[in-house]
Amino acid sequence: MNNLEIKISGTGLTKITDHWSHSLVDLSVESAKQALSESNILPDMVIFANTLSSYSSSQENLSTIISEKLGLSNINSFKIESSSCSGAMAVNIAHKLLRSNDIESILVIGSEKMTDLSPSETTKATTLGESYEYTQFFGITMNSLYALFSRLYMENYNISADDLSNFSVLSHNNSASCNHAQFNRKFSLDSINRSSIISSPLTMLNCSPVGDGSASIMLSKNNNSNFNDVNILSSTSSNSSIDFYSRDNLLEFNSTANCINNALKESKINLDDVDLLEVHDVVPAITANIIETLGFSKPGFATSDVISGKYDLNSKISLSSSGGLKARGNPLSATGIYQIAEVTRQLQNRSHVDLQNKKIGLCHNMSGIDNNSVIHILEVSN
Amino acid sequence: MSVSYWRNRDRYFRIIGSICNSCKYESFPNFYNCKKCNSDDISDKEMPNHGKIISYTVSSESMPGFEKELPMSIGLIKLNNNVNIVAQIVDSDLDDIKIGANVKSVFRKISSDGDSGQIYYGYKFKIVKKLKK
Repeated sequence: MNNLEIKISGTGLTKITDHWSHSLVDLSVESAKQALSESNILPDMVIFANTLSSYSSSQENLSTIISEKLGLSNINSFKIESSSCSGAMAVNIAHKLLRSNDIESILVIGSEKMTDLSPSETTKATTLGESYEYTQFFGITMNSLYALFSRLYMENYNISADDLSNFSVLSHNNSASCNHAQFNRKFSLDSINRSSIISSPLTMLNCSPVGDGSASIMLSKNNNSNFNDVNILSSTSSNSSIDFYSRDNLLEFNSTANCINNALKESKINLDDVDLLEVHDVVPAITANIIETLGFSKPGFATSDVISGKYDLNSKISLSSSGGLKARGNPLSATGIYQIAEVTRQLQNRSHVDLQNKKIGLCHNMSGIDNNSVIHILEVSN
Repeated sequence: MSVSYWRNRDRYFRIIGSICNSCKYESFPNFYNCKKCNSDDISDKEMPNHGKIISYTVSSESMPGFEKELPMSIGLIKLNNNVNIVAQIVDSDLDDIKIGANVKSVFRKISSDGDSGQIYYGYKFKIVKKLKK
């Protein structure tokens, strides 16, 4: 592969919440307009990332619809679907296309409309990425699968559910002042542990919430924006298997492991160089297992590391500095693009918190329980 | 749902997974290429009816049509051939659902299309206790 650097030259985000008065198209146009305006670029291509539109909005062909609303006709546009890592996957594909093609810029929009559905339909929607025949048919929900994994993790490392909740405390501390986050408030460890049970041992305040949102970024070969260059040092993806329970080692996250190995080779950085870390922190045991698989904590020690403050906002490495999936929110296909847009803004010193000397950010987005993973490593040049 | 149900009826009624005829690796759900030796010489294989719970949860949220099942106990079960399966645990005291508990499969109603539509059946599991002598 050539060494052409691809830049993030524009970002756009909507607040994540119940957008009763906005459609999927409205939200997409809102975030895309911000990214277009920041970048001062008219893109050669539009990629739309989404996984629920057929179910939640009875609509497909959205890349054409949204492009038309943005006045971007006579260009190449299409949709990418890869369950909850659709967003980062779309960026990964855009990055590959830019490096192998004569096109100059691609607008990537990730959006999800989750609150038009009833609560039980939303529960089904979040499980659409699992094998229909062996989960939905039996009424087995995504949170139940996360719960089964969580108990395996807790038993294996002898870690309590109450201690794991420290990840959620950290996420809410960080999202309290983040305007676009779904939760602008902190929660104590006790209140998280005493919130109602969704699927034992998972409490409501340990599960990533349901919300509508859209995030957009412009990828280009030249940066025409008023902000410092943020370069993509690496963009890697790897799949694994769909049914986590049928793996030989139930705690092994092979897609994440392959992804980080390739990412470190491609970017030529070390883990010690990472200042900002975003992972697919959908429930605490998954967060812990991802951080350990990536190599930032030893196996079984991510929880004690988060308790000791290793991942606090003002530490060497800041985890989920905008709140992560847990507190910023998790509008499935938008999530991976929120991560990249947030890290870009923080590296450019224009986010909700003043973080000094942050040069390199790593974003990890995945579908299901390590079904498919995507990692981006970003670096700011001053 | 009727057509996909009919297509999968054997898997739902008798827990049919796959066996690799080359290296004898077994797994559930079924597979087309062996995960161990990549052979495509694969046959259907009925899974054993007994196993042990290796993880469990009690869910308080449901999908459409499963509201009456709440709270719903779900087990991650290691069957006696070391193949794992995820299934609802029924006819059992909540206190007995724990890691290491012995379970066996039972044939149960899963859901239905309203009050007068098709009824869907499949496997669930229940705790088996050793008889006191």
